[in-house]
Amino acid sequence: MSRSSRASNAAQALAVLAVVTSTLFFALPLLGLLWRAPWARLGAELRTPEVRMALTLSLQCSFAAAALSCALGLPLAAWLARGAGPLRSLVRVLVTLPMVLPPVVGGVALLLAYGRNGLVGRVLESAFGVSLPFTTAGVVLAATYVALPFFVLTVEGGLRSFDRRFADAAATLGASPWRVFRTVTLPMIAPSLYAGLVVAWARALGEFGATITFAGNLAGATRTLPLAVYVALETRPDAAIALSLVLVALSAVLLYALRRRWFPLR
Amino acid sequence: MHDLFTSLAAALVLAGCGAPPARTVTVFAAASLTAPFEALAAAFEAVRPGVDVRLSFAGTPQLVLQLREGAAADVFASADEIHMARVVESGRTAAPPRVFATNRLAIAVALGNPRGVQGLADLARADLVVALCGPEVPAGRYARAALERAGVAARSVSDEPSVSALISKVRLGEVDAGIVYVTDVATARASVSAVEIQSDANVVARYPIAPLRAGQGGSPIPAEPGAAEPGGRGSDEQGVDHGADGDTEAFVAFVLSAEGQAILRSFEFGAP
Amino acid sequence: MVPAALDLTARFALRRGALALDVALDVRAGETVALVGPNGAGKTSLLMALAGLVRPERGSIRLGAITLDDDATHVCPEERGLGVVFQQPCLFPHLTALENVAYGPRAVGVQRREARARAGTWLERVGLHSRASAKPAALSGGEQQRVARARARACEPRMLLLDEPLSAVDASARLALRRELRAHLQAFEGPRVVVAHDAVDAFALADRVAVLEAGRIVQVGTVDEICSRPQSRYVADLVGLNCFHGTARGGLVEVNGGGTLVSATPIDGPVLATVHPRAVALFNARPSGSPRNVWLAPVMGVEPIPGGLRVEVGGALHLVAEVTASGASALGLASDPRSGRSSGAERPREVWVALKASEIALHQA
Repeated sequence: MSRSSRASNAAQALAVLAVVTSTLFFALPLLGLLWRAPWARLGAELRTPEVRMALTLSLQCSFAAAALSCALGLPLAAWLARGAGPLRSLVRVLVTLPMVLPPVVGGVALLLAYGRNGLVGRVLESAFGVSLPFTTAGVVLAATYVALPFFVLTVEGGLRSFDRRFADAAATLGASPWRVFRTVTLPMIAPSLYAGLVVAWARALGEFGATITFAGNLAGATRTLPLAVYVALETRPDAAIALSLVLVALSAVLLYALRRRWFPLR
Repeated sequence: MHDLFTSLAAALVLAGCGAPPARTVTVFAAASLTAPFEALAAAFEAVRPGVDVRLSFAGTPQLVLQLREGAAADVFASADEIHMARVVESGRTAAPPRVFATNRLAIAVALGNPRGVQGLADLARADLVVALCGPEVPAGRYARAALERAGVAARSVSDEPSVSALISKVRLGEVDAGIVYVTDVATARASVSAVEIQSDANVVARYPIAPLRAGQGGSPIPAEPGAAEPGGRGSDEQGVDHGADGDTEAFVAFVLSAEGQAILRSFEFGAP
Repeated sequence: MVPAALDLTARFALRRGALALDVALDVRAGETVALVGPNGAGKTSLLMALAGLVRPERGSIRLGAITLDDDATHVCPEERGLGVVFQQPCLFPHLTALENVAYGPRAVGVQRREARARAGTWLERVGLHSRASAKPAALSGGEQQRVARARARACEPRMLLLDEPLSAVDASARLALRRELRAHLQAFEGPRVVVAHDAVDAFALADRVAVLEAGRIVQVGTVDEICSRPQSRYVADLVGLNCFHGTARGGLVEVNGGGTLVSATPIDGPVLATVHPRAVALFNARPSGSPRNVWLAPVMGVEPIPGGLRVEVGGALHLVAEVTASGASALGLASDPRSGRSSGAERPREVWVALKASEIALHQA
């Protein structure tokens, strides 16, 4: 067999494998949702105030969490990318923890820290009268907790592959470190930044465990789309499927809109 | 080296196929039944050697959902009759359900009742953070019924997905008071205190149990109880491919027996 | 604001990995010094230290009376006011050519409109005004290099530092760009330091050459000094080229110090003429045929090299030729492989030297 035909066989096998995997794991579950969807009643299911509230809340909270992840994650990623050492390793483990922890455990941990009797929460409540559990702010906190690691690791990767010589060039042109970061580093790692924002947003949108544990489940205040799906699943499966379709459509539209940013064509 | 390998291989083969096929009874039980059913299973296995009782606990609605999607289970013990009715309507029950226990509601508060909750009426206090189970959960439905009977307008800050989630929030101090089952507070006695609900407002929760037959994925369990489509799938022709030794029926009978009832009573469940 | 022309005085040492750099380098205002040396000798490290991107461990770097580095001082790169052109042009890929050039002025607080005007002027000076709105990815290697130079100049630096400015440029554009770069350097009043990729770049661009080996400057001198008295093996190999300074007119080069050469390169004015030793042909008898430069010259020395001999000839034009082993025996210059020396008694005292006009490269000097 010639070298080129072996190569093309390998390419074909790879393509088949890719199609089979994406079908089994991604396309079929989606088809299952579509297959069971109560198409005739879909409009009515989606027009209920509960769905509208959950949708609005989910959008607000997921975007807020993505923005917060960016604001808090950027300095963290910049610091992590600046070198190695035991302190950085420790911090990186801490940052990565929410990715591997079951979100419910994360929710409990958040309660122990920011709950009414939590380490910080009791101070917040007694000193400022601020209570995070059972509030929309609590939802954002829970979503940021699970989304932030994705943002930090993505952006750190981008910063690590950033060629320092561009920053050096900017410095020799008279730019302060902050100006270099703002006008050269950030624009040049923009693809990682967008990717980080998109994964953080997606993770925040789908967040369930930490939210229901930390922020509770109250329509209009803390019941996001995933919580609404969970609640409906037990009583009104049709509504649950309808809500799931909303989640899927929302994610699909945003991911499609951002595809160029996420996978920039070079 | 070679010997080691062959003996390892032999051990793996033995582990995989050597054991005699176990007779198992898979029980789906409401989360509030966790403690008594673990005791019941142990006692049943003692009197009926060779049977392995497998327990799966979850919120009742979740169990109904799993059964609807064809989960393999031999017995269903529900926290209320409404959810059991939906399983009956789907044709998965092999015999009519029977109530095997009752339960009552209580108010769970932090240990020692620091906020001085006296009864249902206090749940309307503005200085208390109150949470209930969601209305889709039996405990949540009962709690709302009790509040309504007592004429108390309490505001739930969160519709908790299960009694255990609600109790843990009371324990953590995030919630000052929550309505749960008497039995739950009894189990969690070490970390929460109970405030009694006067009997004129209290609700009696009835727990039915039924043996199941093998289900098929997508059995149309009706979304709303009582709204079953007439002429749902006939189930007579579906074979009962389990309990050949009558283990399933024996387990249900054991729960209803004097010995089973004594175990339930020891966990403060009421008589049927 | 025209920056005062200040001399560079650098005496410092630093370590970077396996490299221990310890140098003394003086560059007068208006002078170009080329740094040459083998890979890893520390050329780029030296330049980065001058730029302030690496801090010396000992010693000082001064521009006139201004101390950039000493034991107590380290002026950071953004405050040194130097123009640096990196080996890779390092143009910011998200900015247009104009915005790249305007970056420096903007960074030091010049208003946007003024910075862009200044950048436009600089782009015009490097002949790229028409590409002002192009992103770096759309520019050729040579164009990128020119933008990088314009960018370094636009912030009115006190010193120019260039790291192998021609290495990212393809061979065809190189000759023209080298000439342009030379003019560009000469138009700058301050000290100019260029890390040179090869001897031709160094000799064509620099007034003086500093040879760096293993972190130390082993020789500094004018191009002629370096060529005529190489003080290390590396320098000798480096300047293996024959070079002559002279004045060209109509293809005829009057070499400083006597002699003329005919070149095919159409350049007039002061030039540096280079000839590769392999392009120097030696004959026992006057060759017939096309070579335009033929003369009789005394043999000054013979040295074996792998595959042949290196022959030094004197006379008005002192140069080195490399001949193959068979060519050497035809000339009667066969060397004794055991001693590595030719038997002096039989060595001819004079040979005919022939150079094709097309082999004599002229560089504007």
